[in-house]
Amino acid sequence: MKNLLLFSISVAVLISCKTEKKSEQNIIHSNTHDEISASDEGYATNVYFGDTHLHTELSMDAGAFGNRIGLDEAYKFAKGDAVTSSSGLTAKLSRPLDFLVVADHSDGMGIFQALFNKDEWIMKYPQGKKWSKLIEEGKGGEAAIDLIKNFSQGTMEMNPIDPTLMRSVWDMTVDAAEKYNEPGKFTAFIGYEWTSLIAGNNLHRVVIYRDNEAKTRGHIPYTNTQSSDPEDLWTNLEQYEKNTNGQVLAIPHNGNLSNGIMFMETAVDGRDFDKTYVDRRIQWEPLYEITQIKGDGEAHPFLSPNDEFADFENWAFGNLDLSVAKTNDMLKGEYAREALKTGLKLKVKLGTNPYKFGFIGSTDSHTTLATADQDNFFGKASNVEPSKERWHHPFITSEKASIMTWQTVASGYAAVWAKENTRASIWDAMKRKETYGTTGSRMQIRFFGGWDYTNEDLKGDWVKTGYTKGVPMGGDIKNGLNKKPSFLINALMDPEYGSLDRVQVVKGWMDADGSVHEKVFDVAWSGDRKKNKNGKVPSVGNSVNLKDASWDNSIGATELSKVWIDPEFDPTLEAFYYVRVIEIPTPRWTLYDKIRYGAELSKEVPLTMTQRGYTSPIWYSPN
Amino acid sequence: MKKIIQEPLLHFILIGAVFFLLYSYTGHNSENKDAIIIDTQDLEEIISKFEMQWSRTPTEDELISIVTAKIEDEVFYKEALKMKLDSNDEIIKRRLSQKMKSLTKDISTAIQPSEEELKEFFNENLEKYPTDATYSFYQMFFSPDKRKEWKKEATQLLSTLNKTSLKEALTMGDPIALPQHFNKTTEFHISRQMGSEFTAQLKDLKTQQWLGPIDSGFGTHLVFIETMETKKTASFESVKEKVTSDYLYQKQNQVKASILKEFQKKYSITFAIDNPKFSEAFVSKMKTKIIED
Repeated sequence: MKNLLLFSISVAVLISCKTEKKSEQNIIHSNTHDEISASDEGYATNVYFGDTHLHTELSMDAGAFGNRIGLDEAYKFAKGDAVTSSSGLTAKLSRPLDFLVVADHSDGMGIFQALFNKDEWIMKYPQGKKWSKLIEEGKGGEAAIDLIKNFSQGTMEMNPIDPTLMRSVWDMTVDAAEKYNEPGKFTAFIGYEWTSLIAGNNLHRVVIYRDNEAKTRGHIPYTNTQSSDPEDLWTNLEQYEKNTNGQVLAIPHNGNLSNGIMFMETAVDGRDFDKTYVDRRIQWEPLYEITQIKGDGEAHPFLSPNDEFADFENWAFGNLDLSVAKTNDMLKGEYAREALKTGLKLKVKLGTNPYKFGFIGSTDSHTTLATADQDNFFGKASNVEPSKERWHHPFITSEKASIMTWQTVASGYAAVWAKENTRASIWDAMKRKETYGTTGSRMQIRFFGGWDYTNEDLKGDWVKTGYTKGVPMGGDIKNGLNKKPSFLINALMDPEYGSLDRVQVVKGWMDADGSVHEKVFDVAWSGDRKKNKNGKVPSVGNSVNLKDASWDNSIGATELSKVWIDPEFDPTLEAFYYVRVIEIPTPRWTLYDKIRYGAELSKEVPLTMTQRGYTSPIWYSPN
Repeated sequence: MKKIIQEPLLHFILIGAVFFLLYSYTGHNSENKDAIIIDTQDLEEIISKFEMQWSRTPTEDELISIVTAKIEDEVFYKEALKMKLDSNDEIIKRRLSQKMKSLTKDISTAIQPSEEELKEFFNENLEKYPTDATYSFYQMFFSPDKRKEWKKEATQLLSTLNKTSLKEALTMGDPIALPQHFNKTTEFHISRQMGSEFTAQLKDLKTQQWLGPIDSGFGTHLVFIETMETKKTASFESVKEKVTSDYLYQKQNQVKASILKEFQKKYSITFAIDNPKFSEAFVSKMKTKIIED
């Protein structure tokens, strides 16, 4: 007892010791009073931008890649404060985010810390010794890749879910979210990533809770070590809701690294989908992460040969560890648009559409820094933070293929239409799919579907009209006999990004013979361009000055609005419609590296990119 | 008292005392250096570690063989210490340094600031806690999509506007999916919708008249500010949570750094680098960075 007393006195003295003032690096944009600005309207009045998929040093691979900053920095950065990155650079967002989900990998939570500290239990394993040695020698990246490969193949010697480590890391995660959640101003969700891999094929899901610490603290994250089968994850989510009366959802990502198994027509154990499977899938997974650093997942040119914009930052090389190279037959089970089409078939066959999901984008950054901005890209992991040489650093290499850092995409924010910035309001909007994904631009997109929108509805309080006469993105329209569906669309540019090239409606439908089809309609565009004989609007051009990374917004439009009526509607067929907004070309992060650091990029490296937004679909069903 | 608290030597002594106490508290300060004692607690610890790894209880035989191995380790360990084999061993060095670091971390997270300390911190960092300026204003938009010379047209219109009623004036701009009226909105919320370029220009404008043109990423605007409240310092109570969080973040880092500094003072650090491969400039930069920082 005496010892303890002495101990506490010493601590008290220690912490009051004065130290020289450090130069104050933090420029804090403080907006500290609560401003709950809920609208009186019965609908979502504000769009909130956030990242649902961020890793900190607590993720085993992030730590091994050299990430040395954690939860405090993650939230401070997202809220707009300046922080020091793992490589010692000052990092700050040009504009704060509205919400954040820190989604560290549940498998290996705390493992990196054990390796770094050479904990006895982990040093017993040859792999533990090997990785720890690599980390010690400063080859953490190599350790991380080897760790990911072994994890992907299920060949890790140690148990990657150490209960005491997990408990303490989960406590930290929950505590930090509670600490930084600021209703009305900034939402910090409690969540994690379930890192399912089947022989290297990516089936990852981010799990997001609507609830606070009282409900979530006791529910330790589910891991791939327990099961790689999404159905078992759903059972875990089910148990959570049953035990706590809470609410939770899961968002899959990177179908492009699944080698065809993200959107199949059979379960992972090979059995055909049944009613139970399809019901459960759409119950737990209302959204899909359509774009992120590891590639854009909307469409692929092999699947959509008539879509001249389908070839966009795709990663069609192989699975996550590149142990098996990609073949064309895999693509069908990997891309969002194709999955929406498969969903229509399954709906007719089983009564429920398991792939009736909406869209969000997110970063999947492993640097603790949630940035998708081209001029402020901190890379996929801490070993490729801004530098002259990072562009040609291999990201993943195997005998089958390799992916270089220049191929990583500064992409992914989630846009959510909600009434106020709170966990409840934003989570509910995710659940009802009133969301869209962007590649980083904060463009504002509205999309309504109904039966009798007219051009008059674009005037006055058109948002209210949108909600009164139809449904917003993520909704359903039905019973179209003797009518044609009309859509009220508005896209407003991000004042700090490029202006708008065009707004498109992507339609998918199933014919009476059971075959599925798609078509992309240009519905609004800038300037006075005329559609060519194939019905396509010609290219807007590229105004980017490669010497100074400036561009000219005058070739695009500030805002594009349209009431669009489907000219090819057949009321007897299942269909979906979503909006794709494309900006004029602006500089890609690689161009900023070239100008700022003098990076000597090879010819194949693209220097410009068109920012995009993908809205959740609106579905039509004859019954 | 305050003076004593600021004395670095005292810190060092206290840090030493803390670690010494911790060490004795964990019970390793056995009277007889050559005694190896296996007690109930040891057995329970072995069992719980085994269960963690294998998800079952060890059998009696397994338990005995683990204890045998543990004693073997203990014997070799003690002999090795006597032979001073621990000195200059990379792994042991790293491990012990890690232990010290984690102790420092534990100490730094035990900080619980008093109200007074928080207020002092708040007063020293007032510039970090402003209440945002708020504005009530109307904006009228001139679209580059719809006009050839949108900025010129905005300027021309401006001269006639102040004679026109507000309601009528507002019909003269172009529609855009942005609010025409902002009511007591903070700079933060204005920037979210209008962009930072637009917001930055508001503070220089007079109220109760149409002014502009003001550019944004969208195009050009004319604005009529009804009322504005300039940036002020927030009250302590309204930002207490953020102050606490900033205080802890800063203090934890400071405590970690100051403990290291105290220890470091005991050692003279010399750089004996004579290979011309490392330039003098580099060596002196390194010295400054490591020693003086």
